[in-house]
Amino acid sequence: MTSEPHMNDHNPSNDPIWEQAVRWVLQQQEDRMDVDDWEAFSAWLEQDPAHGQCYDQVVEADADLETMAAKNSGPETNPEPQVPANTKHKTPGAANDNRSWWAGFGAIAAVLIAAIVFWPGQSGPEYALMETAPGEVRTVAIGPSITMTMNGNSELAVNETGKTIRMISGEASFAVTSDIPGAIRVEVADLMLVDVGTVFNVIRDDGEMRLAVTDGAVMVNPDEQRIMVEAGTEIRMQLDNLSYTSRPVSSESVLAWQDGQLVFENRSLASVIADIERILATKITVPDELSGQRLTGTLNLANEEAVVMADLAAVLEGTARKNGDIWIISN
Amino acid sequence: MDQRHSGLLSVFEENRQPLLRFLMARTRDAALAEDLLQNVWIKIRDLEHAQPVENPLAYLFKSCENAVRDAKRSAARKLARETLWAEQVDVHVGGGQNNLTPEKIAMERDNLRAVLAELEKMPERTRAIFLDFRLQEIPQKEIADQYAISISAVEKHLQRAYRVIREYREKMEKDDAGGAGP
Repeated sequence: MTSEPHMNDHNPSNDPIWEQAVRWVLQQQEDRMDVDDWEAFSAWLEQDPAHGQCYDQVVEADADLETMAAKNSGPETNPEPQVPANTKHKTPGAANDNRSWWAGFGAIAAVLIAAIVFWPGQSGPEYALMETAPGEVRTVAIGPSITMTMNGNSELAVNETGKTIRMISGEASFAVTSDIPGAIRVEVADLMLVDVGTVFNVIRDDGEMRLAVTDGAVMVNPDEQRIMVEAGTEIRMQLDNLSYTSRPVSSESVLAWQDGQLVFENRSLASVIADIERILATKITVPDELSGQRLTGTLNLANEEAVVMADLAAVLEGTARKNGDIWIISN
Repeated sequence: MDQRHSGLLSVFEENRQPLLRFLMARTRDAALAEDLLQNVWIKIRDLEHAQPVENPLAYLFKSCENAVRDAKRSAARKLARETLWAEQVDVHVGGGQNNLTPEKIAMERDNLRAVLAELEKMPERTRAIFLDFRLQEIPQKEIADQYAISISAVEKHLQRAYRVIREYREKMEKDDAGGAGP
């Protein structure tokens, strides 16, 4: 009898420790953990090292399950995606649809993505509007696993519950600490960006979006074109026809703005000026003969606007002066 | 300084002990627990919040739990999850090979694929309930109402989904141990 001390370990269908570990994960999943629950959870973990080991396994299993679901959310596995035009997924009849949902594990997930686009959240989406002043850099937590940093002169709407960000204008970077794809969704006009374990930067400018990925990857429009942008890459995409170009980028230059720096490597003068205008909400003109020039360098945008303009003029070997609301660089 | 976030900081300071106790229990590693608590504190100090935090202490516990999950996460498995998901891609832009060993990732990916096949064998209703809960994030209570079953019956279905993964992983480990022998 004593030679079989761990029967339960080999019989997972009857393992109270495993079941309790699953219960803790489920309870966190539902956001039903109050302070007493966390303390009870601490006490349970303290009781026996096996509790924690078992819980770790459930956490991994949970990530597996969600990844499976996310993977199968694509249109390929789902020949007839039933994107609902008018049905809510919580209608009582929904239970009858489950059979077809499972057919490939896909349709329901397609519904999920559609749900986020069309009805972001069930009990009325709550979007908090966040704006930064010209030149201001601001870091915001979105739930416990997402950090968003906004560049100056930017406007975003944040739905914390749905982990959805609407990019209205400007620039922001997102750092996600989750290994589940889809922890955050960023909407830029009709485009949808979904993280794949990621740090990425998004700029919305007149009619175009620039997406630079420094870590992990980002999926653009997971339910349509399914374009995967990988680390070390920037794409510049037109918002009307989705045409795009790509180039390699370094994470230092992409995220330098978080320290008030604008770093440019072999960029056209016009695009550098467009960045300065966007971040500082100002207007700059340069002589025509300079506009084709390509620049490499760094500007400190945390300085006074006049200093930034003098620095820019110095890079161009010219001088800066202000005429009304417009900065004029001349040589 | 924003009031919301200084509030979170003071809740943190007042509850350093229970948070540390949780991290100790969770990691069984005093040094790691201290480090993680420090990381959480830095994060709270540096961030403002998009929306007010409803239950600050529960939020802090949750942040600690996330920090532990990050620290414990297997890099290979994480990448396998990401790349498995990413196989359904129409266009790839940029990116070279990742620096984790391709064998390890491929192995994890095969495992995940096999788990999916196991999940396909689950009873219809179990899958449907699991998907409602995990993907649609419908609370267990609502699922129970929808299917006219008890909450504990809903939980049984969810337990079964997790068990499928566990049984499969255990089987794999056994096979590996047997097959990789000298």
